[in-house]
Amino acid sequence: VTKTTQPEAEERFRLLVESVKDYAIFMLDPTGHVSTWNLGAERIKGYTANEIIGKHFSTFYPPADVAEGKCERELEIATREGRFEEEGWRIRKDGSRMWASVTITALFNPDGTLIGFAKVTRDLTERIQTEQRLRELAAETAALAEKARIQEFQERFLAILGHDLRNPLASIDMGTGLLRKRATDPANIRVLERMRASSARMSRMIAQILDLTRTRLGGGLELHPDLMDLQKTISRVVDELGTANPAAQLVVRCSSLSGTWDRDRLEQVFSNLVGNAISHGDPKHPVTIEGSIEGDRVVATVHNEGPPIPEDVQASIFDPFRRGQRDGRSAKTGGLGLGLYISNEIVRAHGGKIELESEEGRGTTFRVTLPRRTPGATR
Amino acid sequence: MTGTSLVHTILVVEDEEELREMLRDALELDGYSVVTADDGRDALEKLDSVSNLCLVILDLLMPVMNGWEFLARARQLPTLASVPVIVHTSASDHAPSGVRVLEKPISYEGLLTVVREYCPT
Repeated sequence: VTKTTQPEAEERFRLLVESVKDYAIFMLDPTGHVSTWNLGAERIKGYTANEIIGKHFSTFYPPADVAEGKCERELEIATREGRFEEEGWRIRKDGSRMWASVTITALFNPDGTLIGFAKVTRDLTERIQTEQRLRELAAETAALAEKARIQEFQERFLAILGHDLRNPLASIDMGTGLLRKRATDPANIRVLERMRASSARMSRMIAQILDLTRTRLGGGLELHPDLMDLQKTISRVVDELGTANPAAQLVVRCSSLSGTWDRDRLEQVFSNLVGNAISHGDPKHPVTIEGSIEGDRVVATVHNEGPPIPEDVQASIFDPFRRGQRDGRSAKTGGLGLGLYISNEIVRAHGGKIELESEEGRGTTFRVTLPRRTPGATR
Repeated sequence: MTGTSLVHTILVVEDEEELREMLRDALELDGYSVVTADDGRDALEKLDSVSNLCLVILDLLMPVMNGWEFLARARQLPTLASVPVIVHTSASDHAPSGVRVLEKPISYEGLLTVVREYCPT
């Protein structure tokens, strides 16, 4: 065992303190000027001993803290209570901020004279950055969970519309049809026909809301494009609407229009456009449907005579639930007034567009332009 | 039943009771014999007791065993291999390929028109 003298012990202790790298350990004189400096202080704060010894410790504080007397207050507390502790922002030599754990301990002579302060500072910036990142991650996780919850709700909503509402409707349809077949009394027949018309209307409305929901909430309208002849689809629509509206005059001028599209969806579009033209056009004039191939596109127009669509209505005619919706226009067709919105969405999903021209004396024309091949179609 | 006329049997697989019974009424009034099942498994269990099976009308979205699973199993059964299946669904977007699909709600006339194609009276 080697006996250690007092000066030797002090020297060893000084070396020990100087070599500590993870903590800034240094002394302040009674007025707060730096009097010793260790490796840890150099590493954490960026100053060498030569640069900082003799400078006031307010150098390490944000200007706002210095201005409001924080440095003096800390020394006062340390003097009065023996020590001062806190976590707070400090400034490094390069101007960057660090979150530091700080302990200031007042040092007194045996006679009670203040000889200075020992200051130990630890850089906790990484810790609070980690905490901040954890908080952000937690917030992101919560947002994702909320998004998933909304998505689940939307899917449930779609399922209710698509399935749960249609089953009772199927039952009502079947029942009225069955009774209609057996009914002989004209009053009963009339009532049953009305019930059947109402049920058909509700069925159309459910289909429209379902489509609206798909376009607005879900992943958009899903197309099933296949090789088809649009002329045949238009003819079928015209036959059906002609049967349902025997007084309507429907003129089709169109040759074969082959392309790759979703047959059912385009049937929906032309059923909507021709149906509207019959409902809103002048019944003394025919509704004209024309189709032609123009290069790599097909153009089909649906035209009716009669008073034009007012300009303010034209501006928002493809919007869902547009202003003035519950006026005569949609009431007349007996739907929700979503038909044009959905038609436009269907055509857009095919990479095409619908344009409208409606002027006094020239009637109303809806012009559908479709690329002959739906973008992304496999065939 | 006389020896000269054979009554066709139609199997209706539908979990919604009201619709299921309405389909039974509609088809029976048109002269068909009808067997109903609440789901795919119920339908498979009833198959052995059905004679003169002419057509299966199948819902897709059902508990216990859905229509897709029923169809997959039915295609492996010799008793069902030659029997046509019509899917009656509101989920026509997801209907299995190679089967005829009737979108709900189908009208009474629409249903009978299709059924008569497969099971002429």
